[in-house]
Amino acid sequence: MTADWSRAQVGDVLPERVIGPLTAMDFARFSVSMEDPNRVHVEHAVAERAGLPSVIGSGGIVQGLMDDLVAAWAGAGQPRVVRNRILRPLFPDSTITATGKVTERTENDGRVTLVVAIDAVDQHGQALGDATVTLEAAL
Amino acid sequence: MRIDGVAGHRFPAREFLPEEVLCVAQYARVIGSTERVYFSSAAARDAGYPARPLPHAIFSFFQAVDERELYDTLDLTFGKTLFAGAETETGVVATEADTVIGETWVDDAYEKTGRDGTNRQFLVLMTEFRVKGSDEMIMRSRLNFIEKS
Repeated sequence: MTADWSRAQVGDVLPERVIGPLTAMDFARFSVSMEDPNRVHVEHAVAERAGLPSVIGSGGIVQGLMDDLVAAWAGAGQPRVVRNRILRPLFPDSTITATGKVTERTENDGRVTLVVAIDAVDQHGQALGDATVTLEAAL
Repeated sequence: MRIDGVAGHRFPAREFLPEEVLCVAQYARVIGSTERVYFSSAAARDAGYPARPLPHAIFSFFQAVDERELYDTLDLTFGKTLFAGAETETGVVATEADTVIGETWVDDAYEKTGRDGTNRQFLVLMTEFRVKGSDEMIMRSRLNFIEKS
């Protein structure tokens, strides 16, 4: 269920989402779902040749999770500007926890702008990615 | 990765029907979404969509570029060329039954020395997806890639 995000205040927290442990099969499913041609997500030999210990999940998993955390809260059709960074590879058996918090709220000329900071960490607390999402609408 | 002379290169636009290319249920399952509209066409219709809607982040440059071009023009080596992040502006929500047009071009390509003294190559791709006919923007992304030389 989406919230009336335009009423949110600085410090409000978005519902957390935890996914995983993610398997190599999850990585393969995700890549196929997007028609991602990068074989490093599905073929161990290709990953090894790239110097990786195993296949890695697409950065799109972390990106998609962070974006969907906001979309589920504010509504999928709510236009937003997302700036995200993918900070380290995603290996099998990872569990990702994504959290979000409202960090800015401004009102100007009948419009409200909200900035939401998102973090995605693995089960060891290591940062996998982060994002800043800006939402704007008429009051 | 090739960086010389590729800045400004525009790849031919690609047109596709998402239901023939993407699988929204698999995508949504992996990212932990519980939105029924992604898993059920009936739930999507009940919610007012003509077909299952597509999360914006399901769209990426590789749906907008012929795979061969990624190797021939950019000489990408997957696993070595790493996705580092993106800036995305979202627009309308497309459904899997909308015909989508994707376009990608090279915004920038350059080399820089990292803190450890090694060279790094940077590639910036712009990708835009629109709904055919209405010309409504689904999303526009600036995608950053990095590769150690």
